Amino acid sequence: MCNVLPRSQSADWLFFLVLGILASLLLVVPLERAWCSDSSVYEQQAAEFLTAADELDLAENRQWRRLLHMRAGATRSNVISQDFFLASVEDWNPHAELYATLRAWFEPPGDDPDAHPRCRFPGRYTWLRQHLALPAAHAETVRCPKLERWARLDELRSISVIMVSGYFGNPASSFGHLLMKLNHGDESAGSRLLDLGINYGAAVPEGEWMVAYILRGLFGGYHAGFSDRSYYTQDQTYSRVEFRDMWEYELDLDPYQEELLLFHLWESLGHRFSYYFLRENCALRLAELLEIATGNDFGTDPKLWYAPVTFFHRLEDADREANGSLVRSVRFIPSSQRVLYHEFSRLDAELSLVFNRIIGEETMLTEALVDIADERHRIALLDVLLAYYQYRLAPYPADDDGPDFRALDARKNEILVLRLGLPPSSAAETEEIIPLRAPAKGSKPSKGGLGLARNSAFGTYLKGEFSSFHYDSIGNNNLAGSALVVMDVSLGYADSEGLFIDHVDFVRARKLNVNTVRIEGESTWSWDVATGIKRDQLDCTSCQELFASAALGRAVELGSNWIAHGTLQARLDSKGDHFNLRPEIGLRHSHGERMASRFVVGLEQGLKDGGSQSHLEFETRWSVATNLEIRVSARRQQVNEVALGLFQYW
Amino acid sequence: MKIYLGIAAGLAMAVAMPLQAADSKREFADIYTECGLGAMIAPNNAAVAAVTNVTWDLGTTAISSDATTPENCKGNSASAAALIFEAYPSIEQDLARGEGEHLSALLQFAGCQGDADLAASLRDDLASLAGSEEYSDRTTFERAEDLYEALDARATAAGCSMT
Repeated sequence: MCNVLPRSQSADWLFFLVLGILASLLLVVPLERAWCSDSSVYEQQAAEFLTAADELDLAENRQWRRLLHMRAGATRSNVISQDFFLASVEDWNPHAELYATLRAWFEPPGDDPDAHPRCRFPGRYTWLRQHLALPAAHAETVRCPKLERWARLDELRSISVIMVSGYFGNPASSFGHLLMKLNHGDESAGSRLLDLGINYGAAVPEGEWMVAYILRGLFGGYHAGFSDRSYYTQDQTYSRVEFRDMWEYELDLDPYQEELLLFHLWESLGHRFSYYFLRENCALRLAELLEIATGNDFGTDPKLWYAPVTFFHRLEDADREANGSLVRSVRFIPSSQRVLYHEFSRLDAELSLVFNRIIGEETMLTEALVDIADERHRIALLDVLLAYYQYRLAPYPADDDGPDFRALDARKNEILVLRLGLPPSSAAETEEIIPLRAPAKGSKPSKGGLGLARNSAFGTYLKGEFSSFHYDSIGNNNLAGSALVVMDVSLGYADSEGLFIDHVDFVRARKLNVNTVRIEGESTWSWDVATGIKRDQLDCTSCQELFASAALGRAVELGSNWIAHGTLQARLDSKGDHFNLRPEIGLRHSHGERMASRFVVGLEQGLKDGGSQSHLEFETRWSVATNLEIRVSARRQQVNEVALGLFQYW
Repeated sequence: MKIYLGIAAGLAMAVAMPLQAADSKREFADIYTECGLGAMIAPNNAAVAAVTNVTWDLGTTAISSDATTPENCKGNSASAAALIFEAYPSIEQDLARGEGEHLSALLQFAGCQGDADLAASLRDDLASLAGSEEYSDRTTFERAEDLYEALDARATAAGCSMT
């Protein structure tokens, strides 16, 4: 067992321990006496500072409320843990908490130095000392060894916030994720993994049913909190299991801002918060930390929702306003899948063929290697094969004992042994992956605008559109033809027809898979799912119906700017034929970040009455500025409709 | 006062030294049990990762920081054990190539940052381990334990401090 020592060493250890305790008592007793004799003085000083705090109205200061995790106008904190507060529960308010915090400053230290309020709430005191000249006398009597070891302020190089790309494997992750990283080491890659990663999330019971998960997430059924772990654990989860790209924004904070952020994080760790998936989520909580530290407004009092990308847009805005002095650098961190694809693409045609024959088990590994004379080629092939099998094994639990896992693992081990028998790689052989544009470099997520449309059946009408989250297939975003749109509402008004619903897309998600890497067995499917309200026919304004659709197909890149796709969509409608099949083909063209267009032609086939009709759609977007664009569209479905609109993103 | 402080500092050092010696003797299985490695949410557990979106460890022990880690789980040896166990596939891959950020991180914990000789020796050790017939039958825990012991031996021989 741990710490079992030989008898003689144990005796030495006990002897020195007893001596140490005796010496410590001798050291502490005089200080305690000094403290007690001065306590009445400090009681009086506390009263003076309470008055000063009232004069400055600190209890209602936005930063103080942020430190207590109170939203604007709220009377309660979002923190549920009672030990986050010093004031009594019965008559708690920010004023009472301020009083209790100020009084606690003067409390004498107890037996456990880390238990003193100055050690438990160092962020509050750091902020208060900016406003009140709290006496530093006898500060040396309150040391916070745990806090000092954790914060390591003297070693802190910088603080980063990390945008994790969206992940369709989990509804809560579709909009991305936000992490924070405390960079204590040097800038080498190995040190980066050992930095401290800060995460915030809900405590979800294992095996939670997905519907319950969504409902409880939306309506406050979970508690949440901050956790701190070595960054490699987060790198493992997001990059190597979920294959999500990340963008690290290294911040340029001054020492006071870094201290305040770290100290407030320390006082928040381990406490439970209320959690609402749309609003009180990871993005909002980490944005609050930066608001406290920098004083910037990152919009953390949202009415309805707060997405990770919202925070990064706010950060980009704040950085621009500060003339680039807030963000030191933005670094792209490709997922392990992207790295694998990149390395595979660097194999020549012959090696790619051998690679696919090996993973397809059409040839024996050792036989295939014999035919490769150049050792460098054998090394390159084995490196990519090993990366491939690690990639295939990643989704399995580490202790999996199933036949699929064991077969893959045995294959990987065979490759590992062969690779270890060859010399190490040369660093010069590695090549950087071209960085993907960060999501916040494109347009903001919410969209609204006005336009005019001309319908061949009922004439000209006015269109108003609003979307709470609008990253569509031709938008100014980094999705390259994929889409994620939530609550996209389009209303029309015509003199002859009055006000009508053009469409409401509750959710529309599309994955346009243009994977050009031809690794045997890798998915090349594209898909599209949507649900909402639409007009049954283009020539009517009072024929709305509910619909839900799903499509599957293929996409192919035609040069650097063109993507062609073909899909088969199955759609369930609340009116008409109820069930329709829609085969369609389309083209997407992009011209830098300024312009993108799409063209779709298809056939709609009703399965009940056998009727069919063709449809045709064209839409083009021209960005006047990053968040301002003009769109022109044309549709044909028995009748024609063209539209022109101006849209603003925020 | 200075005398008191001097005595206290001296005694603290004397008390700490046997503790460090004890730490270096800790075995992987002890670290695994006492530091809660087995209780952590496995990053490879896709079912959990998909639902939680986070690595949730409030109220549990975890090797990462003073906020959540027991006192006897803070040394480099415990951190190296955690890194090997949690990122074993990445370390395996880096050792095969002879370079990589996980290998660099491991050498840091071993107290031999950038030591190419230690990396090469550890690579040889993995070749021996993986080349044995039973390697495929060993669990991730057992493989991690073997590699940890190899690292401990190599780091000690190289005069590095993993405590």
